[in-house]
Order: sequence, then structure tokens, then C-alpha cells
Amino acid sequence: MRYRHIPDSDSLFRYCIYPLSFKGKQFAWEKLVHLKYCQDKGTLRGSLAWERYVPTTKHVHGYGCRVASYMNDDLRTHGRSLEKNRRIYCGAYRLNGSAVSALATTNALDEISSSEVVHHPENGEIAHTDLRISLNRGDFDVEATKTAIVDRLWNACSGPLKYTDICDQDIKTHPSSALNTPPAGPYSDTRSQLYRVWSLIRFQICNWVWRSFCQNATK
Amino acid sequence: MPNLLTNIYPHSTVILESTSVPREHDQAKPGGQNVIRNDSEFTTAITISEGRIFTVRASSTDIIGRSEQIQEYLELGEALNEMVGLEEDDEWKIDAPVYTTACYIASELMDALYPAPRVFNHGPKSVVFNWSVGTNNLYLTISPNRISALRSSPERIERRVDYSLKQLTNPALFLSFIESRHQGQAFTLIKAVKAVSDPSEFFDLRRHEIQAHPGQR
Repeated sequence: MRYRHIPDSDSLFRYCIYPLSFKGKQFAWEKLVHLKYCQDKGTLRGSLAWERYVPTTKHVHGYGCRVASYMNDDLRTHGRSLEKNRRIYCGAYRLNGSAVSALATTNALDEISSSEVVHHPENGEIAHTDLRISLNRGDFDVEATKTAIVDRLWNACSGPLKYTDICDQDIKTHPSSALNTPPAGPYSDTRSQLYRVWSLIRFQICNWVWRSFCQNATK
Repeated sequence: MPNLLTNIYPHSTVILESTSVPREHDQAKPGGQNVIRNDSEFTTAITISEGRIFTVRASSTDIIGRSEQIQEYLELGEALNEMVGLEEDDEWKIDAPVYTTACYIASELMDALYPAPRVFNHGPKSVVFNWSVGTNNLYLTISPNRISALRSSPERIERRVDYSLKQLTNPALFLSFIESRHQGQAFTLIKAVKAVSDPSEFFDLRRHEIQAHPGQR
């Protein structure tokens, strides 16, 4: 499958996992998007899900639950206690592709040369995308750049789409209750009914084709 | 590891009835005791410590506010202490040099009467102090040898300023970062964060908008 740049008009989702996006029991929005710095390439990277391949709320939550499950499997593999470190999917926030591409043209973020979201299926997840931010060479603090990016992305988010997975129903106070509404307000699906049906059909076809022919090539 | 913020020794405090002249027995308390007298508008606080007497006139709300602020900074100090002591792979772990710089900045902010910030990090190499007023934010991203201030609104980044290690080692320079002056115009970066009674004032700084110059973005 050809990796492609995601259009500015398309929506993306960022899943929220406890305790990674939390400080104690409180939601820490600053930790919603984790940015990893690759010094040799001069890039910051993060992960998002593309609405094209999570066309309904149910698909969004399905994706988030699987991410939490992969993390718990990873903890088990490394012999870490699930009691203390258990990852819990809490919900997702939506943002537009335009919010990401705008980072490169934002006033006061001169160190960013380009910013894009690229479709990059991984771990069997067709909806997975890479957030790729390229930085110029120069004398600036990457950590401060991360602060500015996190601030801009949070301000572009809408939501939350809260969710409690069946496997987490034993939790007395589910951490999803702590999720905050971002400055842009709650999530609202503005797509027409017709477009939603079309999105679902397109997803089913693409997903079937990908699982049948392409999945092994993208592992 | 010593923590600058938790090395504060508590003094007991007694609030007495209103009178204009301190009574003799007020000052006879053992060392380390505060005697606070309620006047109509102001409170006189007498601190007796190591045989020295300091008299401060301040409003009672100032003193109560100050004690709350110290408590908040103690909690900040504890949070930083916890962060530096976490396991290497913990999301909230910070490196020791980051911790040292963050404590220094926090103690300067506390001395300058700024309210305690929220704290978060992006990883072990920095810590971020954050103040929010409504949907507007002020961040100080603190690395071992740098500090970067950012003020933002939902619509845009209003201002960013970077400061080097050299500017951090001199408290006077550091405080000038908080209340910096450019081109003859007073520019108070987090003035209204300091003014707890009206924090919204902080974000009403557009009238002081400064043209970008080297070191600013």
C-alpha cells in the first residue's frame, strides 16, 4: 500500500489512555499527544488515527481499545505488573488535518519546516497515521517546541468521546470521567448521513482489500 | 536530594485583637513565633526568629494568601521531588539537572510572589510550569540550561521568549525575564499571574505588544 499524505480537510483522532495521559487521577491534556524526537532526522513524531478508517464512533473506540490491549500485552511480555500499570482506554479527541499542517505556518514556530500526517498502517491497524514534524537546524530548545505544538494541537481538539470498554467495567471510578472538554468544545459529527454511509462502505471495501492483500507488507 | 522548596521552617501564628500598639507580652514569645495583630485595615505581623524581630505591615488577606501560596509551592516541590525519584521508564520521570533548575526557578517565582504553577513534562529532559486563565495559557519550559516562555490563546501563540543559562544564574536577570522591559516600554510577562485578585489582567497585554527582536519569536 502506498503511504499517503492525509488531506487537511480530513479528521483525525487521538486516543486517550490511562495512565499515560493522566497525572494521578486527573486528566493531563498536555500528555494527550506524545511527541518523540528523532535527533538524527530532526523530526518529532506522534500517532493519530485517520477517520477514513475509523468511520464511526464505534470504530474509533475499537481502535483505542486495541491500542490499550497491545500496551497491556507488552507489559505482560516484559514481566511488568498489570495491577499497577494497567492501560485503560478512556476515549478520544478529534482534530482536523489542517491543525497539523498549520503548525508549519504558525507565527512563533519558525523552527518547524514542515508538518504533516502520513497514512502508515502498523500492528494490523489500517487507521494508524504518523504525525511528522520536521525541524530546521538551529539553536532552539526542542522541548519548548514540544510545548508549543502540544498547546496548538490541544486548542484544535474537540471532544471528548468517552468510552468504557467491557473489560474495564470492573473499575469503580473509570478514568474516562476525568476527561476535559478542550477549548474548541465538544465533539460533533458534522458529516451528512449520506456521506457517513459512503464513508462506511468505503472503509469496508478498503479494509477488506488491505487485510486480503496488503497487511503482510505493512507489518 | 535537597529540595529548595521544602526547606521552609514553619512558624506558629497567633492572631490577636485589634490595637495600634504591640503589647509587651506579644514580643515575649519564644523564637520562631509570629504575632499578628488585626487593625481596621492592616495586620501587623511580628516575626521573632533567632533573637531578631521583624515587623511587617500587610493586609490580613495578603498574609492568608501568602500562606496558601507557600503551601502550593510546597506541593510543587514535593511533585518535583517525586518526578526526579521515579523509575527511568516512567512517563513523568525528570533528570536531576532539570530538577535542580526547576527548583531554582520555582523558588524565584515564590519569592517574587507568583502563584504556584501546574507542572508537567514531555520526558526526562525538561519540565513545564503552566498557568491557565480561562482558555489562555502561559508556559515556562525549563531545561537544564535554558528556559522558554510561551503565552497562548485558543487562536494563536501570542509570544515566545527564550532565555539562556547565563540569564538564569543571575536572579536579577531572571526576574527581568518576568518583568522585562523592551524599547522603553514596560512589559510584564506574567504580571497578572502575580496579581491573584485579578489574573485576567495578565492576558490583557496586547497593548504592550513588542516587535520581535533577536532571541524572541
